[in-house]
Amino acid sequence: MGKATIEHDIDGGREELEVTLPLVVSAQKDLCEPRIPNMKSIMQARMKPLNVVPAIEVTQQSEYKTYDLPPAKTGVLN
Amino acid sequence: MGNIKKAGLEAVSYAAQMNAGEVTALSIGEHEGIDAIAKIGASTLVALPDMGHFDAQKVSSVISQVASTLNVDTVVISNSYAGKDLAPQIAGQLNASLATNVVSLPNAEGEITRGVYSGKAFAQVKLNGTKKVLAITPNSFDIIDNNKSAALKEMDVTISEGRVVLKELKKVTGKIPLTEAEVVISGGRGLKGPENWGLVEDLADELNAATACSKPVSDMEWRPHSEHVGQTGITIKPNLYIAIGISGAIQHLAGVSSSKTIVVINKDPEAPFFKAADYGIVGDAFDVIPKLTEALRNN
Repeated sequence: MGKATIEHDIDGGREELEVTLPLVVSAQKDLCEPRIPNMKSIMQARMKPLNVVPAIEVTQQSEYKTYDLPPAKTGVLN
Repeated sequence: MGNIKKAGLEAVSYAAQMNAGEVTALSIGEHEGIDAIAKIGASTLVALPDMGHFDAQKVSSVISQVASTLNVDTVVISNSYAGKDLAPQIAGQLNASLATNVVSLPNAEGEITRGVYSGKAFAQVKLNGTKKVLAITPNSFDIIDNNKSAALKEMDVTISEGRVVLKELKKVTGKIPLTEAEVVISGGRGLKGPENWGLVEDLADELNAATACSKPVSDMEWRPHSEHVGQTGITIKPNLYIAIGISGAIQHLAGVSSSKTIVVINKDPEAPFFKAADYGIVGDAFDVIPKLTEALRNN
């Protein structure tokens, strides 16, 4: 089975982990720059099969009522 | 206090303040500090065996087992890195409602307030599940002394085989955890280089503060990424936040704007951070900081 080595932020530091695939990660922003595909890849992408999978039924467990901005600081110097 | 972190005590105190029944605290590995958690309102301390390296998959399954056995309604956990790993997994396993970044107790309608959009806004959320998992923001809740006593309880749990092997641990030890610190001193690009961080550290020593930095500083590897506060770093909520040589981009403010008092030191009077500050000093950090440190030392 495949393995991967990843860096993982923890409270007060960072750890290096060896994990067994398959793997689910939540990645930090700016971790890597997306590759710009070349023309050949863009054309090839059109030929790829598109698999549409039906969504599973879930129960909505939370309801968002309102959104508020945080109280503004008065600020200084203006 | 034993070895229980402030974040853990806050979680117990939050649960007690919910006034929704009995509070059971869980501890893993070390079980000192039972008196501390009893004082703030837990009636039972469930002592779980040491599971070695913290593996959220392993630990979350154990917490879910305890929660199911005791038939608890609400699991309260700190919104630390570890808590953010645990909370969604526990919610999944218990089929519970989940709210992370929680900054309020439930109101009469059972709604809580949580930080959303990287701390740029707050949402009022009603949790409809019969079970709930809440990850509470550190430094948001007082630890209230209830002066109660608690009993220690052992429980049999199945610990699964982990799928993660620790190769290397780079932990900053002996420092105050950033999210728990009452005072945080933060440095930005205005400090010109890592060799000048002594200024920040001297001031931090005087104030018993944790040190932090802005994103460019961690990107340039002047400081470790674990000190980076802001939208893509850590969100903090200290009583006092002192920003030195940080202009105050919106992404930085997202991580610190909930601080109770913000002091900005910057030589540029146009720095946007002054608009979000409670106090400001316009001046060169290399003049101001040594004088401030000196004044505190003599005080």
